[in-house]
Amino acid sequence: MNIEKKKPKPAEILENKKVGTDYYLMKLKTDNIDEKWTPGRFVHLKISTPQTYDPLLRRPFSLFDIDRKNNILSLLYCVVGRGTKIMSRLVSGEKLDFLGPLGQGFSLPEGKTILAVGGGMGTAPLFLLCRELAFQNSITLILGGNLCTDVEFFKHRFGELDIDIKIATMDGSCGYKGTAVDLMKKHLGVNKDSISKEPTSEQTISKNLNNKRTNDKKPNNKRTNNKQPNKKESNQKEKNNKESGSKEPNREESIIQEKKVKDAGFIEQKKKLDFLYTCGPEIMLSAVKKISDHFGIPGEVSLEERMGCGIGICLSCVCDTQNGNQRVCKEGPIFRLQEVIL
Amino acid sequence: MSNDELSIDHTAKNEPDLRVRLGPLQLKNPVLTASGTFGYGDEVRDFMDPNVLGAITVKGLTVEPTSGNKTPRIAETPAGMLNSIGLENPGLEKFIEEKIELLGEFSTEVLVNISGHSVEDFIILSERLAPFEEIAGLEVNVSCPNIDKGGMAFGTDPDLVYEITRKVKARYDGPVIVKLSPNVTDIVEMAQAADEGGADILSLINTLLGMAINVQKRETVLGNTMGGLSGPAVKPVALRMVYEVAEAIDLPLIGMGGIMNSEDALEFLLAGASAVSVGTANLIDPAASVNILEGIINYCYEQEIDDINSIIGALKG
Repeated sequence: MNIEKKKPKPAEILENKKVGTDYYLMKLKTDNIDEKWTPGRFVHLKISTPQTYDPLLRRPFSLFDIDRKNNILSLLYCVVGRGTKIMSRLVSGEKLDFLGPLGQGFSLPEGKTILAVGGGMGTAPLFLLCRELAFQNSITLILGGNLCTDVEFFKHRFGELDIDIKIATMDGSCGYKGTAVDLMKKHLGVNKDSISKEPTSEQTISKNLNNKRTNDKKPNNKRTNNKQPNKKESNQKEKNNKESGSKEPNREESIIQEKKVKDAGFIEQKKKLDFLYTCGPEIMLSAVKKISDHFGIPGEVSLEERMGCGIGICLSCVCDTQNGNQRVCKEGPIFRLQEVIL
Repeated sequence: MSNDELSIDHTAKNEPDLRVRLGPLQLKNPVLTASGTFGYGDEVRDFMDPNVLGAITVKGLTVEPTSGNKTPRIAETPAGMLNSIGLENPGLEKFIEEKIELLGEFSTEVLVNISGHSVEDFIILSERLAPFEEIAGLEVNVSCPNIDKGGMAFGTDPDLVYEITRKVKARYDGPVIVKLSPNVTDIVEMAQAADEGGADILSLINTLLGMAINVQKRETVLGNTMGGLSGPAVKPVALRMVYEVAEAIDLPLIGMGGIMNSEDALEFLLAGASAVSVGTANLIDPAASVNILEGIINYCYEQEIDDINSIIGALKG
């Protein structure tokens, strides 16, 4: 009896070295890196040795770079937990079993003016993207980090590409002092406060979460495990918030501000920007989405969520979108900015 | 596991007969997939052919569409994982509309796992699914919280296990499998209740209730605080429960809980299960179930076993 199946392919580690404070770059040699390997997709690595199950689950890593000619893929990772710690100790010559490339990649336009905004390790999937898009498009990259050391490696690597790089660090040790979003607004010529009058979506979400938590703590409700009524309730609350009279002045103010921005020549700015790409901490993504929504600039975001299988069967890594729950591993990790609810 | 170079050694021996009969359910081999770890069977097609398996069990179904729990829904633990997906599924009507026809295209048997928050839910699900020939049987998940009884799981109350089983059985002509919760003091008592209610088959175990805490953040790791533990960590418990029930109850059993390789699967067969379900292993290697089936076949060749049934419950001594 012969059973046909595709076995997960092992890849050989060519290099695994520290490239920043907690950043590591792993180069893997595999067979046939074909046209399916596109920016934004990811591989799911088994860190444990064959026949062992510790750590049990695979770990997802976005494609940092690929060398199609030599069948080499590069993954950039940060040591954040047990799995990445184990990974950081692997040496060249060892084999790693992986699934991939998985998920949906970024869309790849031509002849566009593009702004890419990366925060910390979230910048990783933007490298391959920028490298593949740089020939056909005009790209500006905004690179954000807490410290200079967070952006050093990216500054160096992105420096190889024909793109415009702007850096923001929280302590001002490199480039602009502030967040990537502050620098993005500056780059777009947007008044810093003009789009922060309404409650940001992350504030709304945390409000909802608080509502949920409060409900969860009610003893009678604790074991019911049914999120549906809570969600409805939260939505209702959100609706009430939006409809409540107290928010109206802010909205008017915001419209006035928007008008001011338009008067200040943002329309010209907007013409110069066709598309946004972003990846990084959720608070940053939420702010980038807000700018994208506000000015109607289309874009895409790479999302992260705790993943199980990576192929869409376990429903662990869902995110909230206009079309309901979507699987980050299957419909994502790349989503349209307009579609995600952050 | 995924690297094992298992190839089947045919050396002139008879091909083993892998067919197993679980009451009214005849399967071509004893390897199944566990509900919630195999989607609707189509997501894994890039990695393996589900049709080589004895049966597949699709994602738990509820009457109403369910969006599930908040994230994180999964947490890795030593030799295991916790999940609190919260039964995310499209709901009964959308399932019928969009999924059943596709499930009918499988040449292997398709089992549908049903979940409810009230006895009434189970009645609706079994009545509505009864006419569909695409479904080979229902697996009744009694591990969910019962809203009518303050959220206590149905599966921890023998009277409720009996009642649900009887009501499903009265409305559904095909094989009825009751999936037992391990979160009880006496698993045999629950198995007995399902048997008295008319269950054709028992499957065990569902996940063990657990939790994990992030000490840096002083928060629970799962968005839903508690979740079900699965993976190699639970295997000894699962095996013990299968053994206990097999000794006490005269019903065919589907054993599951931390089966990662063929040796694990064979342990369950020897403990008295007529078939096994592969769960968590599918999440790590989508072809795990096929590897397990291959390993069982190889074991049969090595041990000169002509009929897989000869090892079911065949512990020596």
